[in-house]
Amino acid sequence: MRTISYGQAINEALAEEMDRDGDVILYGLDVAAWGGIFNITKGLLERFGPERVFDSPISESVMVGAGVGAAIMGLRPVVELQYADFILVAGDEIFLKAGMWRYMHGGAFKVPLVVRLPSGATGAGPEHSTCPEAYVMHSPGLLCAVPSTAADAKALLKEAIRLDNPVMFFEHRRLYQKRDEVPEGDVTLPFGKGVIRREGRHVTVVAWQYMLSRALKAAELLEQEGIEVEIFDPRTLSPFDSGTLIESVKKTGACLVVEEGYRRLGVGAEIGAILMEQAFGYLDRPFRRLAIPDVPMASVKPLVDRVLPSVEAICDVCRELAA
Amino acid sequence: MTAADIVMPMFGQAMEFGVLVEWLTADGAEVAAGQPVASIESDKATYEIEAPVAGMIRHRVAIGAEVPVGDLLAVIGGAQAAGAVETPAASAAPALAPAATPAPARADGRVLASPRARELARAIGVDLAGVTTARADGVIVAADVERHGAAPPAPSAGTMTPLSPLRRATARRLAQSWTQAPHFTQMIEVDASALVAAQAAIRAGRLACSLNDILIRAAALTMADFPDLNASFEDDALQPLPDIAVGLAVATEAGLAVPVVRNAARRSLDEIAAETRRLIDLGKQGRIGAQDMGRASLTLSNLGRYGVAFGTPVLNLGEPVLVFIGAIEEKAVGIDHEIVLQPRTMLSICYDHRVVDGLRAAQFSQRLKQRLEALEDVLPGETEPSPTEPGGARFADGRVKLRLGEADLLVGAKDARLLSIAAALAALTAELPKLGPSARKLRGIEIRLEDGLAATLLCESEAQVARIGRAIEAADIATYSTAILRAELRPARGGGA
Amino acid sequence: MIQNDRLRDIFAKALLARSFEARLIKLTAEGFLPPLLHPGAGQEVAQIAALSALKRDDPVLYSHRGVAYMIARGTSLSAMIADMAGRAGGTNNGKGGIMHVVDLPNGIYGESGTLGGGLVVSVGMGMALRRRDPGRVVVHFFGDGASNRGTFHEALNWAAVQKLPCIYICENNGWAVSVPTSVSTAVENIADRAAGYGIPGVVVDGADPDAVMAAVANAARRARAGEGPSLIEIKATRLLGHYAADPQDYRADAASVAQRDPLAALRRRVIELGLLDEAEIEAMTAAHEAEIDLAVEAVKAAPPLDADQAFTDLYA
Repeated sequence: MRTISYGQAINEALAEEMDRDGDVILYGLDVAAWGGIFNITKGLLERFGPERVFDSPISESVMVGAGVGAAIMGLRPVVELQYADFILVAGDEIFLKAGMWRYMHGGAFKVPLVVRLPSGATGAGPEHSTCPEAYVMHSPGLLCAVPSTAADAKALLKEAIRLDNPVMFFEHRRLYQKRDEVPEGDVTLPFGKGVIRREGRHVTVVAWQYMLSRALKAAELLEQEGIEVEIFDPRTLSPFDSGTLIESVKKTGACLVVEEGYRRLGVGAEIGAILMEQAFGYLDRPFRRLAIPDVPMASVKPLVDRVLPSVEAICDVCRELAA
Repeated sequence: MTAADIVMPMFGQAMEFGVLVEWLTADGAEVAAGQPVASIESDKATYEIEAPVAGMIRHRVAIGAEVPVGDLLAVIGGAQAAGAVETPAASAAPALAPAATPAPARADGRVLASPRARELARAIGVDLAGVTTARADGVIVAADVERHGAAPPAPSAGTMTPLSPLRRATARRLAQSWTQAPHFTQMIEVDASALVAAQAAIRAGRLACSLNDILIRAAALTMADFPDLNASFEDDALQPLPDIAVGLAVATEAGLAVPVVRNAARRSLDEIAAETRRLIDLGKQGRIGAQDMGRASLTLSNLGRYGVAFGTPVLNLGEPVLVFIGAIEEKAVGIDHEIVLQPRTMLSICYDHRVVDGLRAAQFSQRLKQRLEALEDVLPGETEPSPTEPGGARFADGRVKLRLGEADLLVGAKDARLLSIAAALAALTAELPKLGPSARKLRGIEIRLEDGLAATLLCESEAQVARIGRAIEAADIATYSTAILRAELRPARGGGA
Repeated sequence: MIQNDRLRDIFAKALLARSFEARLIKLTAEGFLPPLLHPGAGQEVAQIAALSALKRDDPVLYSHRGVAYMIARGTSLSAMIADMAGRAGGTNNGKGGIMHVVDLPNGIYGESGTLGGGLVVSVGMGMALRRRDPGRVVVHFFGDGASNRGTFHEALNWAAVQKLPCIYICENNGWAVSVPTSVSTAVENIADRAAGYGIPGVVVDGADPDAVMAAVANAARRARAGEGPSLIEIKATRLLGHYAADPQDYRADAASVAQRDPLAALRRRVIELGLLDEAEIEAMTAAHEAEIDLAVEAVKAAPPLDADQAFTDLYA
């Protein structure tokens, strides 16, 4: 099978869906003539024209708010926010408009909106470096995708564009250049169905996007010590595939969540609560989390590295859990 | 056929007896020379004994027996082998269960157990109050319940718990050291900044060793400065120890073992690291041999990771010094009339007063402290300088000078876009030397700036494309920059591109 | 000059809106309805005049003050009472109450709960209309208070850049809850801000339905012709408090404001023009009351909403 990068996969998904459905439009700062600051939307303006691919002002509120308005009128807008942190700039529009317009109007509308959110700690400073999935997972009415591979990025984005609900689509910037096998053709993935990336008996590690690659590295190291780590990639956080996770924890009795968001009330906290409520009797070890300790994400590399969960830290916790 | 006796060997100078843990060959079996035949436990570790010659082995003692050094364990071949062993039926072999401690009794009488352990105990009708665990947190897990379910009933409250042979021997020898050697402990606080930096270098992969290796080397070098301390008090005289050996506590299946790193003062940090790795691996397999055991000049005990601040250790029998390293913690200290935060750790150094007086010991303590604070002669002389952070130069004058292969490259970085791409290139060039000498041959690479935050490195050959591609991947460029670098084959010249 | 039958229609609808709102306030005082209505008394004439300059299928995002927008478009009275009362038969299944009445066949597209939140939504609606249904326009009503949200700037700027078919109608009644515009707003006229977006900005008197209709008709013509959005400021009169039981002790003109009631002025005018006489207005009022009675009875007879409706309508 051919291999393409995560960024190319997103570009392909956008192109294919725009080709398939004339109601799909794409806008955001720099997405048109420049092809996106991360080069993801390159070539789409030339292919689909300025009426469907256009730049926006630096106006996050209207970028997302207009997405809601266009969606309730029948378009399928895809909005790029450049940095996932900006969901807080457009907080009203994401959490109150996209998440609730349908609900507060008694289901009169559909909101088929996709907001693309490049995320991740890349030394861009406290307001351009976070993985704020937890805010989205916390909020009703929003779907949340966190693809970890090029194939998943393409299939989940195609699905997100076709869904009639607002999707916050997190693209981890450290993955844009990662290449892997992506099938040709029209492949989608359902939301709410995670995948076991690696099987093991001793500890279940939940991780996605950049932390998934670290978890996989840790699992390789631990294998040499006889510790078998099972790795669960949820693919989407809303909805969250608790069924597959619980099946895994039934086997291992131990669970560690590794996330790039803040620790306090983070995704891991929710997963821990799910296990307490739904899998209590299967837990044989304390539930554990590795996340950003509750400080902002700094700019320079040593400080960033200091707070990002490391392969070594993952190994250490897994060893404790396997002991 | 050559006949041979197998007797209890002496692992370490202070060993008096060993326990036969296991026969690795059946009684009456034919064994080859060099084949492991028995497993012996001393107070420090478990060893395997090999057959000195080939022949039929006849066991002479039963599993679990305490056998004095030099006494007969088995015979191979010859006439002695004819007699069958009388296995004393009464001396019940102690079960080789992992050293299990009862779950710590809590004041409120509650048993700590995982939810799964509770479900399992309920399902198979086990009373958790009788289940023991070896876990440090004292929480009973499902495996403890399973083991309990399979084992004979645990002694009820009030009955004695027999110790394993290893623990029995350890207890005896510690008591001996404690009563014979007059101990004194000096505590000295150390600025751990250098150690923390070394730890960071280890984590970053710039230093291939562990913190313990650094401690071992520092302790050994210090002992080399004080040859008079490197002695054992025996028979009212100081017996100089043959070399500078550092004991290192290692976790094994059967408990803590203390193998030694011999000639530690003469080994480089790399060599020490290799040696401790070997010892730790052996420990994990339960195969630490006699040659790796024995009396040390000093033993290191590092329980810092458990948060222990200081200790009053007990010397290993016959050893003059034991260094206990506490947790490294950030503390407020006064420096030049200013309060600053500094990582600090406490050394608790225990001495045998028969070997060393307090003043000399204080000099030793101080020297070790200074060495750990500077780490000058501890870390390798030609320590790799930490790669300059590519971010460092980029804001200087708006231009970034990069060296790509053998060519200097000057990138103007007046706007944010070029700046980002320059930072990405800098990250790449920092990574290139790590890919080995072949990657240095990079003459002729051209850089083409694309739209957006992208740049393409045009290479001369597919091999070069592959090498640069690997470097781009390894450089983790996203850490420094949002730019995207690609390696591509340069189009044929004259192609109009 | 508005045609006479159009003017009479505006008057009749404003009269109904006034009676209907008065009934809602009465039912609130009686405890049948929760105290969640923001009365629109004084602003009905301009709201209805503005909408009468548009087509019925031109989508409306309305403001929170009053129900005249819905009356203008013919939304069921009983459905609105049911929304407020939490009975079956409403438009939003108990999710939005009276604040989020929705009536798509009549072009009522709802309201943002956060003031000014709809401004940005309307931009996207304009984008969709232009692409899918050229010729339709979206109209967004908001108050002087909401015009101080950042969304106002973002929305008008981008709508202007894209020349979207949007009409922005600011009903400036001088009050953001208890805060007068003199305290909150740097410019005399909200419409002056249009210059900042390169679009027309006009000020009209909310008591002058002719002026309101003309301004909206002109904005609609521009929008339908692809010339972009317009900003219309209606100088409006808030007769009552921010909410029904607001004591308004922050307001010096609370007692005298009734003399400036645009509906009373329109009533005098339709009589002067001979379109209606006092007796006809009495009869019209009685008919409205009877219509409202029927609606109230229907709602009182309807079952309460199933509480499990809390779990519906979230995802499509």
